Amino acid sequence: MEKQSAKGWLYLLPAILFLGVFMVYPLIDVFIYSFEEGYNSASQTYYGVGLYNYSYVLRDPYFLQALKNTFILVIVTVPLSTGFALLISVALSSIRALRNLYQTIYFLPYVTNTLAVGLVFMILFKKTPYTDGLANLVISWFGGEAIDFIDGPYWAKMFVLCVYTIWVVMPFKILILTSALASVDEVYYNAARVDGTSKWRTFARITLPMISPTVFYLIITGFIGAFKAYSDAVALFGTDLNASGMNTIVGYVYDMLYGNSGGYPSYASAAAIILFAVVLTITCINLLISTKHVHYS
Amino acid sequence: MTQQTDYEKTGKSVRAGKRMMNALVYALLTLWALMVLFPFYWMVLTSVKSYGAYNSEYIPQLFTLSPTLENYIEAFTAVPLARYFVNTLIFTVVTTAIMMAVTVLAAYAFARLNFRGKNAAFVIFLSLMMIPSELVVITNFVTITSLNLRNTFLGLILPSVTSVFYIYLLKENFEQVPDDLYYAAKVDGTSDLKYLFKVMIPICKPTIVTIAILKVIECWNSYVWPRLVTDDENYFLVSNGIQAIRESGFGRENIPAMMAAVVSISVPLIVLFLIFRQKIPDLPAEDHGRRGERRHKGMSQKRAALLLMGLMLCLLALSGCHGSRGLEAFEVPQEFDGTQQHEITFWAKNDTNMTQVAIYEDAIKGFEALYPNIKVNLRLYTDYGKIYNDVITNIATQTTPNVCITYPDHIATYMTGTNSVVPLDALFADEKYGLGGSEIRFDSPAQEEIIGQFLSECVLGGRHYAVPFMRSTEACYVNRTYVEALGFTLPETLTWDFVWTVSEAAMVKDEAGNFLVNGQKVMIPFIYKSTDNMMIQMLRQKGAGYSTDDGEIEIFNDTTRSLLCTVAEHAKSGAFSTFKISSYPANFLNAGQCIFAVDSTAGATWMGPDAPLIDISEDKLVDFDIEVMMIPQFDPGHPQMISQGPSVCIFNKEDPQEVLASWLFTQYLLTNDVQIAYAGTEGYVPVTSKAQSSDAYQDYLARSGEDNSTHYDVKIMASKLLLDNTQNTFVTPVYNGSASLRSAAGQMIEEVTKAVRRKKTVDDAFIEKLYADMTSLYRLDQIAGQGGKAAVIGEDDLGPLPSAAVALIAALVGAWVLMGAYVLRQRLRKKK
Repeated sequence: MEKQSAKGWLYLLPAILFLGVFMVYPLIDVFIYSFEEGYNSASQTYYGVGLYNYSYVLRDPYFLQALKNTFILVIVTVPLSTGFALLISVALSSIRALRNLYQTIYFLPYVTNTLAVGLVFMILFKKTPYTDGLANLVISWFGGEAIDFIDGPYWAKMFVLCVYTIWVVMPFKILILTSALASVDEVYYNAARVDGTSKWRTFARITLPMISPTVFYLIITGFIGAFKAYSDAVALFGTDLNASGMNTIVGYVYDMLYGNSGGYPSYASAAAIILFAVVLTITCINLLISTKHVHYS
Repeated sequence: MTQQTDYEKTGKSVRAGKRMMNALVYALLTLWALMVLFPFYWMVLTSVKSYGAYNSEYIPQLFTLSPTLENYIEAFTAVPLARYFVNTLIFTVVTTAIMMAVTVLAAYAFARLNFRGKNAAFVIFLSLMMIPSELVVITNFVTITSLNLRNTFLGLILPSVTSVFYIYLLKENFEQVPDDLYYAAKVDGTSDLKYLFKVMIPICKPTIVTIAILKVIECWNSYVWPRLVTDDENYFLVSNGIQAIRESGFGRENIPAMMAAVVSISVPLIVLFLIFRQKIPDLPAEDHGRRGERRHKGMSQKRAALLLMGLMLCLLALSGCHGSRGLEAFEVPQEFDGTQQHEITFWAKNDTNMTQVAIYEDAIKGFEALYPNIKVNLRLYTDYGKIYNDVITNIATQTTPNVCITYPDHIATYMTGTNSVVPLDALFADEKYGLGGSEIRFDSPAQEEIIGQFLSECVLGGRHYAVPFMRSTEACYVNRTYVEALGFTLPETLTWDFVWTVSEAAMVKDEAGNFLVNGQKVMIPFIYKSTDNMMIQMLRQKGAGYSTDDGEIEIFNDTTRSLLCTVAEHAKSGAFSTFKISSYPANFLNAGQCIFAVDSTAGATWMGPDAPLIDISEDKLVDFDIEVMMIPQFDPGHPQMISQGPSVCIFNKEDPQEVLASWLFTQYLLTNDVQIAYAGTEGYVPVTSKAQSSDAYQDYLARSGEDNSTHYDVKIMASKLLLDNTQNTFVTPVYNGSASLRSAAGQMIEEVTKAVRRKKTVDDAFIEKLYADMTSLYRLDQIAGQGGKAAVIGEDDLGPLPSAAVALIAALVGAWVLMGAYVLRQRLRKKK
């Protein structure tokens, strides 16, 4: 047993090295940065140690706007995408013909570059002086007025962002859910059929609980992923997200790092730590709930 | 008998119901499949539409009758797209390879081997999964930059290698291999390593392949990290390459070519996916390991906590080294050592056309011929803002360039680093190596031969920190034909009233919705390229406050308010727009869709129906008489216009010889050949009287109109505009933060214009809020003149915490309190 001890650590060594340098060290470093007030990259000086950075960030209307955007994104996209993915997965599991074809198609968005496809969405929804765009064309078929989804009112922009985000996250969820549905033992279904249980009951009482760990996993990762949204917004609105009011928390951190008047890694760090706190809280809540509600066979 | 019929009936209805259900299911699935496929279809469709055809589609066509491959050719030739591919390929392959090695070893250790502290270590690993990668980006960036690994593959690869998620996934899979196999192998005397390779890996191959594929996808689409770490085009990956094209390359205008690029980068992964499609569904969806993990948690939690704390303490010592690491002040060396080899970096801005690049390269060649011991490395940017950002980040890690094209506004910020920018007065005056010095191997201008007005713009705090390189101003390019068609005559000097009046007059449409003045569906009479300059010049012409020399901000005053309201009024009718909202004024002007296009004199090469550089398709050009005039004035008798244009600064280095070498190169940029050649590429003006009065330059000016390229008349007229009005130009005060103030000034106009287009009202309340928003966005309260340090520290000055922030903090605290209470309750229950 003892001999194995050293070996185990040896096998772990490369992972520990990489993670230590590029994950744990930065975590602490960022933490420290967030307490060094008003750190200015160009001059490499800071005023003192304290909570000023957090104070500044929490009062910055752009951070609050980013916060609001991110929250709306999370609350809208996670339930919708998970629900819709569930619907599609169940539908997929109930057919036999063409299933492979559909699965292949559904997975396409996962494989493509979000920036690349985001551009396409931008073109579809944007209204320029030359053309109203395809989305507005569809709206006009229904008798509506053309709206600029990329440069227009806030709700329109938020709408496009949510639509795009859902479009992007669906493949992974559909994939995971179909695997989970497939792994539910036939035995249960057969038993239910023998008892003459209706389809709805079967779904609610057998299927759902059996795949609940997976659904839960998807919700957690969905929340966390949505909080870290950034490239989707950039793909649609370009890198100047503050100007379009569509910044996300991560975008704010990023802009602070690389912005005008010198970088402000201290504000970026404070904002990043706030993000981390939110993600950590949600993860812990989810862990607690999962030990209580999630079903194990 | 009746029973049989009943069964048939129910059978039929059940089958009918089933069929309907089936139909619905297929309908749903097909609908979603269409929604997934449509953007791809659109992508490919647009990429085969020709540029002209695409832009003339008022209603987007869902198909095209004449597909073309020209966009693909454009995409691959206009930007080094193939290079991006290669870079991404290298990055992906190496990262995935290293990741596989690390992950397999670690997962094996956790799954099979037994060692002390294993569970604690695993819990720590798991908790690391919660760290968002966006958090660590900040420090990784500093780490990589200090190791001088920016713009290298190593810098791209190393931080992207590990992810705990894959270790977890593989560990789960490894654990499913039955223990008996292992024990049997052990009995046979197989080593652990051999067992890994001969048994574990083959059995778990599907998962390993899946992980590899997922990592490949992740690497191929990686954006944030490459964006931060590479600013050298040669190292761009496909994602930040695409973003760069979109913002500054042909992507702004040429959407079909952009789509061609997008299709090209999407195809490899899709092909890869289709080939390996069978492997992916093997992702373990159930959480078998969770139960076992929970058992271990309780015992090893204490251990984990201790280990983690120990680790953190060690790292605490290492990190937190955030302090000043400045350089020594520069002193002019006595002799320039001709034997010492130097390699200096020159960061320059060029326009999208390549003639300027050629001039830089010629200059470098000429200089290197004279000074063979100095090698100059050129790095090009198409945007001043990017140079600014990159320099700032490099100051922190002492990896600044040697010579850099810049603006005085930016230099003020660079100077906040200790001795980072070299003060040039001592160098100017040096007998041997100064301006017109005796030991210089080329004909460098003396200090008096640099136009005084331009040189004085490079003074900060009483000392020169830069030399001017090129100068330009803003001009108004007018479509005289349309002005006269509307019944007006152009005055000698444009006034704001005149411009607004004519613009409004041009907004008249006929019954079909076409504008009367040009018969087209699009007309934006007045487009301003740089709203920064617009606001600054308007305020200066009105004698209103902008800022003091120390940085006290005066811009939020009543004149600004009335100016913004006027702009809003005209933006509302559609008579006014800006570049950021509508696109290049030149494009609209040349297509007969604009009457007053204000842009830099440097942009003259794009203006007019015969312009040498055109960004729109040929068939959209409209013939008209173009006039180059001063920007609109409030007081025609006392015209005022901004002076702008790049300057050159030198960064301090440890070796004074290197700085001297940089200075020599800088002077070379001021020689007649370089000055005249560069000024000729656009409507720039040379900054030395030596060049301006030279025969070559005078000849160039005299031959205006001879052809539509080098001697394009609009371009020369624009240059002459500045030459004749040099004494009417001004610059804004320069201090750390002046660049932000300038951006804020312009942004106010943008915001007002955008608000009006979104049907919001621009009234006093709106403007008050705008002032507050600008102050935050550009951190104007942090500027030195505003009380600086003292203001920053005083928390009370910031005011009360906004409600959203309070809500956030309350929610977080509340959540933890509730969780704590819940856990406590569970513990108490167990005890009972």
